[in-house]
Amino acid sequence: MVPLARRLLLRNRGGLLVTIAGVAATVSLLLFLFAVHAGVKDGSTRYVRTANVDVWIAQKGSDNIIKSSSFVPASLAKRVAAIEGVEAASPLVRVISKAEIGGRLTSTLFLFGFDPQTRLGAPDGVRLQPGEIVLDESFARKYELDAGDTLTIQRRPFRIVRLSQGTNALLSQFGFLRFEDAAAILGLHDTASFILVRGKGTAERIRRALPDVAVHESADFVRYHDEELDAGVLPVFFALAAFGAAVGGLIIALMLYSSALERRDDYATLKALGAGHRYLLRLVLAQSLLVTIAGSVAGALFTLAITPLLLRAIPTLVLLYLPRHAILFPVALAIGALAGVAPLRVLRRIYPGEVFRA
Amino acid sequence: MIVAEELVKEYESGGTFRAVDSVSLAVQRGEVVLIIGPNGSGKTTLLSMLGGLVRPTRGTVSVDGRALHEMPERELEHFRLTRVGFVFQTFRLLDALTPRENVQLVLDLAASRHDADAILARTGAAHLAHRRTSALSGGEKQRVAIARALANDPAILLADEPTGSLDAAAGEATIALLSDAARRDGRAVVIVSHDTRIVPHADRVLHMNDGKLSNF
Repeated sequence: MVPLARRLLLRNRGGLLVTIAGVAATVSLLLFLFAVHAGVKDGSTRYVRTANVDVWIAQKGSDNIIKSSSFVPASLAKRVAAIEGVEAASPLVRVISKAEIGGRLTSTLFLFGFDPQTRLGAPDGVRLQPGEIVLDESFARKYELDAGDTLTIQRRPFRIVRLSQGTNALLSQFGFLRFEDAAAILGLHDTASFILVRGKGTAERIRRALPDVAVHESADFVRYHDEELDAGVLPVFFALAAFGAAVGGLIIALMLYSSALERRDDYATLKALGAGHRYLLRLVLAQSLLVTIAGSVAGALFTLAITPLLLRAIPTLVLLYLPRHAILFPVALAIGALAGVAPLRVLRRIYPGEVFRA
Repeated sequence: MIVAEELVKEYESGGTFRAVDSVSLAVQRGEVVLIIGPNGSGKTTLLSMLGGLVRPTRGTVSVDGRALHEMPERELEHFRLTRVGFVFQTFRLLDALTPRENVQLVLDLAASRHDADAILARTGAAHLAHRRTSALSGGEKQRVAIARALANDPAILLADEPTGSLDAAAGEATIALLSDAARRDGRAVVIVSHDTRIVPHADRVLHMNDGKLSNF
């Protein structure tokens, strides 16, 4: 069965190559979409996941650092610190601003100002002096910056002391500086975006003490980010992935359909010899799966080859390939199998008596 | 062996066209029956009905007592696979496969353990086993096609213009192989042809004209 399917495919090498290329392009596109989604998700949530904070306090109705506005008094941190069980509490202010490099404005940065004393919210617990900044690695790469370089934000110079990873939310990247530097950029006194708390099991006590703010345990806060991101981008990614999968399926279906027409004599001969309709179906299915497997492997290899080039060409692109993305391959096989029904009608209409036509 | 009684095949094409008209025929094991007649006389349609490729409009066909006209499609497929060998004017080999694979394909379909190489050797095609099928000459292709037709040790062999695309020598070789299939193996062989070279090899020669069959 499989050798015959392979030979029938090889009878039309041009068509086979085009089909494999089409499937490969589809698989590559889907892998790329999955990797972008995973990369954006990681870049948008890793900071929250690794900030070593037990409780996030935000303005009522605010439950994430990316897509919500939050203002709370910075001095609230002192009241929180006095609550039983709280080990430390300090403000975190978020400023959204462009930077300036050599008179040229950059894309927008999400700047987080943390308390240099408690270092709650500091990436990897970094210590910063006034006028220092930790900058997202991909942002730095995009503008050809490195540790030791300087950039200007709101006319204030900042020296880059370190580059951070997992701080790229695709549309914007993160920077980290001292609270007072960020507050000065913001231009508001006693204003923070969040109060960060270290102290396990204190959320309920803080809620009771401060009923006018939103109090989120760290695990919930991370989950809100995941949900927010999924709600925002997943439908788009799903739509693109579904469109890509449909195109891939149609390419295979078209190849099988035209192959059934071209090889009509062969199928009629098989029928005349006694091959049943089921045998012909399995034969077509085998062809479909062979093309899908070849296309999937080619697509995966192409993706591996092109990823470094893409990352070089688009520095802010984050591609994260995860083991769970391998689900794409059984899905591709299922689509290939589904495409195998395309020539069903042609096969059914082939009449074994056609073999006697000269 | 093969018994056809009052076979009629009609086609609807802007009116009713009767391709085969009340044909009765019996072919015994070991017998070679040659049916000759002009183009469009219904020879091939008759052959198709004898091989279970086409169902008669009326009448009956049976092989070894089994009524083909009453068989469901899947049973008919199995019947063709195990009891009938077909030889075509245009060979109908699968170019995608080697000659050996063409023979093996039929063996695989029927889950038979016969040896493809031995079958090819019987028709003098052993040396062609691994050649490209599309590169074979007409005579070579017909040897392979006959090997394929014999692969499942069929009870009946039906040949449609088997020498029609061959030169004289290849035609003679093909006739000899078909004749041998009847004489040596005891198969019932029905040949439809214009080729009068076959006449001396046939036990009976029948004439078909306007769908009717008569003795020559």
